Amino acid sequence: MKKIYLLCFFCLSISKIFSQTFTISGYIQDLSSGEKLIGANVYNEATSEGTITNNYGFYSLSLPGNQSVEITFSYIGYQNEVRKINLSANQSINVDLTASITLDAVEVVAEKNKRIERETQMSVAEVPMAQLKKVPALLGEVDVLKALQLLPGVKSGGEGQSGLYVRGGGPDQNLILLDGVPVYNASHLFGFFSVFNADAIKDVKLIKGGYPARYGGRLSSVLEINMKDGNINEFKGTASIGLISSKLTLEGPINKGKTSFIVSGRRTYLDVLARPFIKNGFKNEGQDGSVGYYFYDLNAKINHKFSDKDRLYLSSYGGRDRFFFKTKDLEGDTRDFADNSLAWGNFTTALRWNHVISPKMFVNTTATYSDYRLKTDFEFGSNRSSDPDYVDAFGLNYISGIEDLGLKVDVDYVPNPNHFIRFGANVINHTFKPGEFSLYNESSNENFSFKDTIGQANIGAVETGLYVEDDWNISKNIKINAGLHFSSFLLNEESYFSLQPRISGRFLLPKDWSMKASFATMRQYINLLSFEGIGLPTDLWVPSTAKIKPQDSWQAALGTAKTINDSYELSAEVYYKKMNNLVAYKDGAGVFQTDDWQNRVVQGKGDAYGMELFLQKKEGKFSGWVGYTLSWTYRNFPDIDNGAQFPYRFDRRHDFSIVGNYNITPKINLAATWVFSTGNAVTLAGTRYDGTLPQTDNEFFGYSGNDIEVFGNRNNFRMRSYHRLDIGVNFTKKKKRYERVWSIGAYNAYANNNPFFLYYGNTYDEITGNTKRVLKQTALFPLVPYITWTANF
Amino acid sequence: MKANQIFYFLTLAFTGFILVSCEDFFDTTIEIDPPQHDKRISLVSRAFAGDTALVMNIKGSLAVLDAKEFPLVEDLSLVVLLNGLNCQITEEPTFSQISGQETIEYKAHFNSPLVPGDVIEIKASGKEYNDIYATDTVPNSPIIEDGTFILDGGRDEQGEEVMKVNFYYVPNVSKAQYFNQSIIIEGEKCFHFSSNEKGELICLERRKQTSKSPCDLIDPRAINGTQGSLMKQEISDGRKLYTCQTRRVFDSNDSIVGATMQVINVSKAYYEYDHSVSNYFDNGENPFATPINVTSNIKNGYGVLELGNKKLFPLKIQ
Repeated sequence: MKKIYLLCFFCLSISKIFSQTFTISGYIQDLSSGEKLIGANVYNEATSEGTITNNYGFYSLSLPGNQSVEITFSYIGYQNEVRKINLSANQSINVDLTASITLDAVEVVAEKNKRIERETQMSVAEVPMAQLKKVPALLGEVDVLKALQLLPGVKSGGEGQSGLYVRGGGPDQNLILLDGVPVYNASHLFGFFSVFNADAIKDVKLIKGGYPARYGGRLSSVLEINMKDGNINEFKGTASIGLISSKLTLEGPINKGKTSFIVSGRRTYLDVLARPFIKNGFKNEGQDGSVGYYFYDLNAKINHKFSDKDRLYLSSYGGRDRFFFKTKDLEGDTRDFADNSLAWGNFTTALRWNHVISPKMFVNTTATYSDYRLKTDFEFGSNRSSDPDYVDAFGLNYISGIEDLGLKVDVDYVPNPNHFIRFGANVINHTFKPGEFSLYNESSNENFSFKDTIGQANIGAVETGLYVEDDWNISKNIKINAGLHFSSFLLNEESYFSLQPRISGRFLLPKDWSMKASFATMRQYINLLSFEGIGLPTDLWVPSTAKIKPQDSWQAALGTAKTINDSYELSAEVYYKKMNNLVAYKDGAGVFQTDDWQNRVVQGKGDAYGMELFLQKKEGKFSGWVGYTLSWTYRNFPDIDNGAQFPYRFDRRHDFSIVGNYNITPKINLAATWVFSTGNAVTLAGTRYDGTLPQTDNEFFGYSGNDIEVFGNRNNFRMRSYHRLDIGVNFTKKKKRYERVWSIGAYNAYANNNPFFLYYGNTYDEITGNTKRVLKQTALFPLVPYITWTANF
Repeated sequence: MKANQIFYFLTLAFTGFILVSCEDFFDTTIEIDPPQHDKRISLVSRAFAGDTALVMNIKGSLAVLDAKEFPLVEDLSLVVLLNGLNCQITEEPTFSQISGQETIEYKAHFNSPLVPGDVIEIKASGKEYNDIYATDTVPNSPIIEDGTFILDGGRDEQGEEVMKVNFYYVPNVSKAQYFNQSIIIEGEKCFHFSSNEKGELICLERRKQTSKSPCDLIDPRAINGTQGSLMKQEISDGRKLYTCQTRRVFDSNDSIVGATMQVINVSKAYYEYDHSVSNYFDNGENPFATPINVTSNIKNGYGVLELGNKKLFPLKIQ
């Protein structure tokens, strides 16, 4: 309580000191849709003072009173708006910006306050959604996560995989927030697509280091994804038909200017298209059956503006993947049957209330719910047409997942242009479901019946967080963001507490250069047990326990940034990250094992360091970026390789990407991506020896193999380098009632055989007629063309 | 250039790409070179207290894709020391039951039977190989008091059919004792208990499979000797009474002709090698498990020199 009083006193003191000022505040939004613009710039040219809008499009700028000022409102891709304001009182000014439609000329937006060299936040990646949507994609499915993998410091798990590996961290170390709600499994189709439907997304921001104090709970990155609010002025829609899925997005006002909605859905249809052929195939085998896979997701959001001071948002996401296999004999008295399925999915909901307490203080209160669930059903047996009471069946069901219920309050307080203070608190009630098997076996023939449930009981835990941070302009050239994040994790058997200091700063240098530095400590209380590399739905989220300690990290980064010719952003950073209490499987342990997960894992340390270069052009006729990462990532576990250091599976020395987007004409857009990266590190045996024990008397029992392979250190072998070119063309045409876009392209256009996995197998030698053992490398996608039709109406 | 011309050009180029890559399109698997062969001598040997000789299997290693028989080490120089004294070494041709090939076993002869505390050292070298060195110590006899071993059928608290054996165990409080290969045999079936790294006894279930490896794990938790059901223990007269209880692994129709419990107190190297090898063979084929490195106490080489001290206890059957 004492701390809260101190905090209030601190805020009021600052407020008092600058009481001679007046505040302009309000929302900045898109003119046509009413979408709030996140990170839009508000700037006073005369005094070089400014601010940016928060995640809800709200801004607050306090300036000395009794003067007339010219304030520029700007946002990338939009025309600037300059307003003359007479500062004689606090004023609420909502600004509608018009999207820039000129494509031939290079649009220069004077986002002076938001120029990369002026921002204190480093290690952040923000790519406009419009640009991300044009990046050529596997099977034409625009994928936000895969587009982010093209940025320096971010790596993919493997060919086609949507998991993110940020600065040497694992996929469980990313805090993925969809409208503020954690998403635990961001993959569809075994990791080949992410769950985020690009048509429903407004804004994406990835923070790789120098985390502000408002974030916590993960070691390696924060990925903040905000859904669109829905067009508040008119009905709009987008429909698209692709090779594997179709999408439909509808948005519009319910009460014009006050309430709007957006609904966006997507479903694959390979199972529907293939059904007749599969059914016929089973019929030829004397069976009735079906096999297939599909995924769907649905995003929905509704928001209502009660007044300029109060807004309410309700957003939901639901998605599910399902693989199924069913057969049933059509003939005979005793007919065999099998009914198997594997399903997993997320459901998230956020209810947010924005309230403007004063022109300088904005409060957002969010209640969240998140549920990730995996369910496996296997059932097989037989029945008899002559005897309806006959049953001979075996069934196995497996359920695991995680369920969160949370509440958080975030306060933005802008006492003056030199301070942007944020503080807040959150609490999450986790329910971990580490896996439960239900078995049944029934046989009327043997008069036998068995039903049992085994597995591990649900684990409840409460995670809380408190934070305070200030974006502070110390002088014209020096600005810092300093803060503290406190977290706790309460289990029945154990409680953990952590205080995490965070600081980042920038120092302006001549000629629009700046130096930046950051230091952040993070703690993570939840762990993902998964088989590295493949986004299997068997991923199991488990908490820190008395035996498994929370993961900790600290990261320091140093960098420089510059805007070149008002069009190009250049940044270069070096970083070092130290991670403790990382979790890894023991030798021989992995998924599909039923013992207590705590006995299958070991804890150890990790180091990651490297350099990242990034040159980006965000808009204009030609846009895109070039990114390069030089990095090292190691792991060290006392129980693995006798404590020797070994490279992380995704330790890639070089990672290079070029993304280009060229508007040939206003109707034709050409996009291309080229990536190159060092191969993944994997564990492979190179040597074998005779492990036969000489036979002795009284050898009742004992393992003795004659052929034992030596793997050496973990991840001792490098896969071949990975490189790939994707190309795509978008043809846009205005029709009477809608605008249609044909997107044609190819993934891996020059069909490079990129390694997906390696295995030892046998091959037949036609010359000698012998079978020999060889090491094989398998690629997944040699060349995958795509075509998508989209209508915007 | 008009838009439609660009469209046709791109479509043409796109089709060209597909045609060019057609050959590779369906052939996504290629052969690549494996990791390099780390050529070393392998030595595998095991002896118990009371033995008068140490039999050694000494070979050269091979590249993982080399299908040849494991070669004998050319110009092998072999020295075996028992408590620092040289042992006489003989070479004996033998027939490998596994490969079906003739091979050579090396035998070091001791002047007297091995006793607890004896230290064996082995030094070997050969043409094109690094010198190897191994050492191990004969452990003490397992401290388990006899006279209380009763193989008992019955039911557990949930009413499940179980079989159990009770015995008194005197733990070595000063350091962890490693137990291994301690089994109960009753006709065709057996079960097994072991210890974890802390010296705590663990009950694992095994079922007879082959004559060479008569018991096979059937409890998936029994990995690396660190899991399984920790035995119930009660303090009684300063000793610990253990009840090893497992699921019943034989049918009620089976006639149990007799049972023996073998307890071996093993060296740390023995324990680690045995558990890693069992883990290797149990999980080696699981593509979703991390690869297993078999441990070794052979410096610059592969394999193991493992020493144990075993004791047999006849069991009463109830």
